Amino acid sequence: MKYGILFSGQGAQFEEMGLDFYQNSPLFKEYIDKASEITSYDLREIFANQGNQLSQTKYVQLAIVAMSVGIYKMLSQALGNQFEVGGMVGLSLGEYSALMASGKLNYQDGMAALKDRAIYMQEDADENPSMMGAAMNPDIEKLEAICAEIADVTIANYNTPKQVVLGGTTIGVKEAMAAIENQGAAKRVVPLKVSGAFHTPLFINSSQKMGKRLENITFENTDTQVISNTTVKPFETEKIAQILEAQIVNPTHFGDCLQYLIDNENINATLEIGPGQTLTKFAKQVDKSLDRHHISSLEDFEKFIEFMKEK
Amino acid sequence: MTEQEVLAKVQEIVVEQLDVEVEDVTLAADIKEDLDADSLDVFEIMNELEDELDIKLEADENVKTIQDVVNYVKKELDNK
Repeated sequence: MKYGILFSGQGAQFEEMGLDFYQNSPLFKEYIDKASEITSYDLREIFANQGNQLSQTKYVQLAIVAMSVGIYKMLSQALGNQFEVGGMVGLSLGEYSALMASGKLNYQDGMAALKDRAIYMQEDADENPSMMGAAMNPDIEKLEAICAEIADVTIANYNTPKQVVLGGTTIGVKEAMAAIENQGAAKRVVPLKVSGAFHTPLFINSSQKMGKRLENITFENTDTQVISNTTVKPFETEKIAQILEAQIVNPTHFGDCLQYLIDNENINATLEIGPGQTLTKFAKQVDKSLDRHHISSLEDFEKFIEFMKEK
Repeated sequence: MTEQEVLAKVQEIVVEQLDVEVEDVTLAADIKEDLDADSLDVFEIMNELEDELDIKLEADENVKTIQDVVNYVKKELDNK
């Protein structure tokens, strides 16, 4: 089995996520405590969500990435070379998890930069009331034409051939949704509960600030390929900062990234790391034949290790 | 279609969409809580049912459990 590792994005976070790992794995605990130290937040409190931290992008980004990196480290420790990885792809903030897991971005720099990314995006989200809608079974050409006609609405996520997400101002998206229904440009459009229309021009301020923020970070050239949501090609070391800046305001192409791994690396299995199973569901829509796994809890982790050891 | 037949069809579609076992798709099962569906999954399931049974299902109908889905589908089939 050759795996594509998928790192979760925002959306499927859940209360107390990561705490089972924290309480049982010294290695995981080490990564979480380090993240808390780097960011001056208490990651355990964010995971516990007693103050609804997980519904704020400012905090949830850090929680998801720290949890994902922690799980990946546990996996490497448990399986070592037994685990053949063809490449990695993260969705949006999951790209930070992938860059850290692959060794291209060190944990200290990564978590510190992510803290700021999350703050910038929270600011833009608070300033620009925005909305997103998931278009199911889309006619991409019609959808793109509709977006071209309406101010402040763009396609933000090309998730799979069957699901595309639009984002923009609330007024713009509502107008787009009506047009989509009238023209039959999708089977349905479902409004999504998200903090902001990420990956649209509404986040230009975050993008510019992020560009500056990433300026002095050194990225390492490592063998594990990470496919960029923005360019649909492996991240080239010298261009990582530039791509991460552009990532915030440009659409993501998760489905195509996964297809890249299938076509170029011959992956036949996927393993999603992080809360939820969203990317695993996308993987199914991209290619049903992929052997799909996910690790979102300690129980999932133990099951996966057992599965790998049985081979 | 009888209620039993509707249930069988719903189970078939839910198993396919959510990657769960048919034994998990009981009438009492809460689609989001017990079967781990997110809101988009629920829409996909409704889409499939619409296509297979040639009925129209409203997106914001309040369906929580499999029993709710079966009841709603049966109602729409009976009204056709």
